[in-house]
Amino acid sequence: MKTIVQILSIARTEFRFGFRRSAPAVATAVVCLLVGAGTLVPLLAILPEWAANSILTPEKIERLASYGLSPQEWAFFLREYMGDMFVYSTMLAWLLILLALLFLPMATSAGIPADRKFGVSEVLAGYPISGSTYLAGKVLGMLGTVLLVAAITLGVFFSVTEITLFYNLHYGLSANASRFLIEIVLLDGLPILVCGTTVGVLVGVFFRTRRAAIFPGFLAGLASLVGWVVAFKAPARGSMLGVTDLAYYYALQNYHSTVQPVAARLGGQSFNLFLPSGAPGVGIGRLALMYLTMLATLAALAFLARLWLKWKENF
Amino acid sequence: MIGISQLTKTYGRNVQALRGVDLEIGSGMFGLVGPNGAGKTTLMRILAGLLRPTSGTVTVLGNDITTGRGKLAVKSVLGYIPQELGLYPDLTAMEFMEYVALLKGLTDKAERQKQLAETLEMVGLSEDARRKLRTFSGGMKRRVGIAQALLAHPQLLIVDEPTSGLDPEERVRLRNLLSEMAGRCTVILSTHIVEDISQSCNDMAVINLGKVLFRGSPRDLINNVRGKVWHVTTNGERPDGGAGIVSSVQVQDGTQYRLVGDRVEKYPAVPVEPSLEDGYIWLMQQARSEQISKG
Repeated sequence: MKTIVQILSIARTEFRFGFRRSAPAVATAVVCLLVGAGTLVPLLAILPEWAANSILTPEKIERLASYGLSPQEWAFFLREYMGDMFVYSTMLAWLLILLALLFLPMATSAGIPADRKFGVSEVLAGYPISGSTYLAGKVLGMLGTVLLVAAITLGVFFSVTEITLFYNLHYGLSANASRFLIEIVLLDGLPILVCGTTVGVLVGVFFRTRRAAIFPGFLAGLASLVGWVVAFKAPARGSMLGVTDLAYYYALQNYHSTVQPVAARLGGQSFNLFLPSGAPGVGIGRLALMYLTMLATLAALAFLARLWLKWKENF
Repeated sequence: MIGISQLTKTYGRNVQALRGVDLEIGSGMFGLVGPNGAGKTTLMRILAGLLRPTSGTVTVLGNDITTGRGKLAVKSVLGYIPQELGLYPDLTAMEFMEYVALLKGLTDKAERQKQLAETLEMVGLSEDARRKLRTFSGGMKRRVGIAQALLAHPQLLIVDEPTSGLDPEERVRLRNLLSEMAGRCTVILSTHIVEDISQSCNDMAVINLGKVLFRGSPRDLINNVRGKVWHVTTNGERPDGGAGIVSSVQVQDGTQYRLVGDRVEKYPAVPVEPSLEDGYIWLMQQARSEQISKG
């Protein structure tokens, strides 16, 4: 109980400083802003055409009938089509979330060196807290800052998307698209932000000053990005999906498009807008292995940071 | 209460900060005095569990400070004020104190609030508790340092160079506060200002080049130089010879020197009542002579 209170207390203070130092909040906001804008802009671009298509004239109804479609089926198609377009627009925009792996370690690496700069680490070391408690509090506090900023930034963008659709089209994203959004945020965005932040805070342990920690933070970010892309690469070679990671791919393969059967009737042939033909599936086991690998890597880094604190500062 | 035996600390390959220190420290206020670079801060940091000794044993309240468990046990009854006191400038005094209270394990809110109010009152910062620490003067920051150390009722208070850089009034206030605390817990005060010791400690040690030169009461150190302190007045020239100069004052008929040494040659000397500072200077002089004779 006492240890939990100590961890939360350190985390709360670090959370406040995360905002005051501004680098972690700014880096997170920029990355999420790029992701949000990258998703929203293509949707806004097709909105006028979509709105024009939603107006049914007698000629259009006649043409639809020639494809065997009723006006109700056409309305359903348009609504679901917007959901598909949303998912499609994330295929490129969501790649930008990987930038968090590059920039967050640099932005969050100053947390522990700042304690040394202010001389607070000397005072903290005199309290009955272990080095592990200190590290856990620091990581949690910084995660709090990053995740809150990410939630606000992404939340604003997706709310704008939803509101735009709602006011223009009189209904929001389809349930399938909404579920896909939640899945990519929780299964992919969250682990990436956790990884980038934790790497940054732990790398900071090895440096005495904030300035000294910035470049190693950048290198750690580069290593995290390359490591993530190589280790967790999606199996769809030869397509845009080849550069996404397993978690995004998993969410995408589970996305159920209700538009494509109708589109097949309109176009005269069936197609898959998202996955290339013959793309292998990714199971939950493979996803679990990805998270385990990530957690094991972070645990190893935390272990090294703990040893360093013990060796260098007897903490 | 605190037992130190054959304690050594070496930085890198050949910087010996402590060279076989043996000390027993009981309750009350204990003063550790020595010149800059004597090894005081190293000793204080080892006692606080912040630094691992190279060799030797240290037990604090029955706990071996070199083990992880012993270190945590000591820290749970310790109040530590480092030489370079660091505070978060963006927090208010109250926010910082609340943070410290939680880290020290004061999880009960009512008890925490009570102790926060008491300690801030004790150091005279109740009125300024809602001000940001960046706006505090050096003396006020020192008082915050004392306040954080007093939270959770420590049994041992380690204070490293608390008065350096403070104005005389703040120094007196701080010394009085520490003397007051010595009635409740053991206080170890490390300083290079002899006056701090003479005004507040009943037990002391002098350390130089990592070795304990003297261990006893301030009275003992004063008695060591009884009959060895002189006033000499010259017409401006510095008295040379074996005696060390403690102070010099311009007087009507020249310069009056306060000297400490076995005897004063060439000048008419008047014996005077010794002070702790005289004892300290004499001790340092002896140590220097010994060092020179050893080559």
